[in-house]
Amino acid sequence: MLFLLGVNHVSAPLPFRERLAFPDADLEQALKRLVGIATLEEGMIISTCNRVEVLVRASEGGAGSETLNDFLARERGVSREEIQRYTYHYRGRDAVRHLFQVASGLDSMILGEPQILGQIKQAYLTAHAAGTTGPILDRLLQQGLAVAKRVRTETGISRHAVSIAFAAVELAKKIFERLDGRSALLLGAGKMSELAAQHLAANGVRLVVSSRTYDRAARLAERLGGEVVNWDDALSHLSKVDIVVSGTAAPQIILGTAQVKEGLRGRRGAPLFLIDMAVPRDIDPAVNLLNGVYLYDIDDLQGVVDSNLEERNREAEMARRMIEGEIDAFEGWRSSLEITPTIVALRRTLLDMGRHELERHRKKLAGLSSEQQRAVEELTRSLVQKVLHRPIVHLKSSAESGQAGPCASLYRKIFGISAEAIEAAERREADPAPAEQDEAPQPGPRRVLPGGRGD
Amino acid sequence: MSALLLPAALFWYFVGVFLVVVGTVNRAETLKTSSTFALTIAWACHIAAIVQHGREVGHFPLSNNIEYLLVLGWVVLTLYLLVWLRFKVIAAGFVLPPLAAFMSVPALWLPTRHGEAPYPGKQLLFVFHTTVATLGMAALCVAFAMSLIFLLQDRAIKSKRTPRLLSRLPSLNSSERIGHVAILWGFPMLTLGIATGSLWSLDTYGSVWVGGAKQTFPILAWIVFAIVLYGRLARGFGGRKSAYLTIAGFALGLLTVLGMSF
Repeated sequence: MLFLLGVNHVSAPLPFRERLAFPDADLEQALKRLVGIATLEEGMIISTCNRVEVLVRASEGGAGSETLNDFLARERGVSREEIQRYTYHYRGRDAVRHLFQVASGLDSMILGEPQILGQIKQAYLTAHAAGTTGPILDRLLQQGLAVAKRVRTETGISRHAVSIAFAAVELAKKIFERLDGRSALLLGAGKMSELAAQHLAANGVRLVVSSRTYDRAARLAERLGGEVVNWDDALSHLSKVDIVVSGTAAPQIILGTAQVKEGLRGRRGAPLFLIDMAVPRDIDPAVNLLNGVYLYDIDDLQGVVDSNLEERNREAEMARRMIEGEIDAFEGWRSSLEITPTIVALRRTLLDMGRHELERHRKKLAGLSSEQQRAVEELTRSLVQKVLHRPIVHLKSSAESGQAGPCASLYRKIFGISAEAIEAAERREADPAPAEQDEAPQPGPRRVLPGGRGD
Repeated sequence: MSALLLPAALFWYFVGVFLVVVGTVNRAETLKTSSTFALTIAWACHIAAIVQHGREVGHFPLSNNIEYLLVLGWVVLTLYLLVWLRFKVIAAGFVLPPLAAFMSVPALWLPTRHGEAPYPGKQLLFVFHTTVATLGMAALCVAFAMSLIFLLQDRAIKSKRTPRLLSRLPSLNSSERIGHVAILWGFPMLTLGIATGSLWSLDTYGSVWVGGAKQTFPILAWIVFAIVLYGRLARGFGGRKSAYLTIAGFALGLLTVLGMSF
């Protein structure tokens, strides 16, 4: 049974999340202590600045949730009351769903943010290297990382910008296609405008910085990498740059229609993108009406961000449906794993029975030629296979519909299979007859990271 | 037309445009690629239909307005496929292939009588004239489509509310650049088309100017595109004004069809 204990930005305040976070250096030891707990078979820990998740597989009948509470209290020196108040618990299918949603960015503070995927991958690699994951978690994580990737490529959950600065860059691309080689004039030293300029510069835009106080402009230009111009000359650059980012503290309009018109004169029809990050506004809204001039103020950009967020929310619904399908696939695989020991033991018991009967009648068969004897042996064997065929098909289909446990125990009762036989099969010391290999599901992982499906 | 080639071409046009729309709305790359594949089949069927029709009637199939539109449609599709190869701008697929298909529809009812050359005068000069004029118009059709896309995107950015479909349009810069290249190709060919047409007219009727829609509209279109080119190259005006003029110029050029013999 899978158990998951976690805290995120919704369930717990930052100070508590900080106390709960595992330092990187300690993670490997903590993982080893985690799977050192008698009832736990596998385990991994995801610890980032926004969340801590402890995911384990407990052996049958092991009380997972309580064990995890104790573990966390012990490891991070927090009280059990705090843990109970701030954490959430999931088990079985719900734990799988939570992990898939976290990996896909559905549980993130900014819906669809991409970093969490890398963080989970790293957490898994750490646990894998420490040897604390086994067949179930390996498979779960590989599938989870693959799902997250699918969600990102097939839905629009991380498609459009959800920050004002990024929205400005996206708009600039709608006008200019590529931004490298373009230039931008940064007016004033507002925080938002600086951020937008920074994003533009990261996309290859050359910056020209100007501020009422020259020193301030010089410092800003040094920080962002750009050229400084005198405030009085700044507007003469209107005819040369492609983008203007304005964020001055001026109480009135500093860029009116007349000035922009004047600036357009030397532009030979090239479009001009004006970004007004100032409150109160620096640029006269009427310039948006000019041919080839595109003006966005901070409210306009916020509007773009809002509609992008709405679209992400719509896409998140699609992602959730996608994840449900993947949970079914994982659970189907896992329950087929549950019936494998039963199938192996079942075959083994019946084949033994056949062999035993054959031995009993060996004397009576002595008159047969060796060829005929082999034929009788073959007949016994194929009889066993035939008898077992339908029960095994039934067992598998019941596993797919989530009835593995009761069905397997019924079969064990009917065929009188002992607990020891099941254990022997679980240890995979069962009869290595080749016929069994191709019908029983393989319990191993499909592939092991790194370089697996999560890449 | 007796053959099934043109209906087949129209069918593949339909499939291609459908895939363009669905692929763009859902941002599905495979669908977009499939749309190009379907339109390539349409392209092949279309040229086969033209060749077959030419053999049936026994002359170069540019003798009346219906044949002209049929050939123009094919060249427009050719240019769309070239634009797709070169610029990967699929938005043009909303305009050009439907237009190409639309232009080809009248040819479904084209008679296929084998007859004498349907036009008087020097055959070779006439064929050269019509070919060049068709190529020029097709290039200007691309410019028209890109101007339409430019105006939609311009309006979307200015209005600050981008409907879902419009958010898939190419950037202003891309559509303007492709449109400009198309005019740079189309305008000289239009010029050559008008010049050879006048020459043929002089040779056949003894006068450069015989009037009528056939000569008036190309000249009007030529003037409009001359203004667009002059404005952009010499004065540097572009954007909306250029786009509106390009659309007007193409519409005038298309009206030439009215002046052709049926």
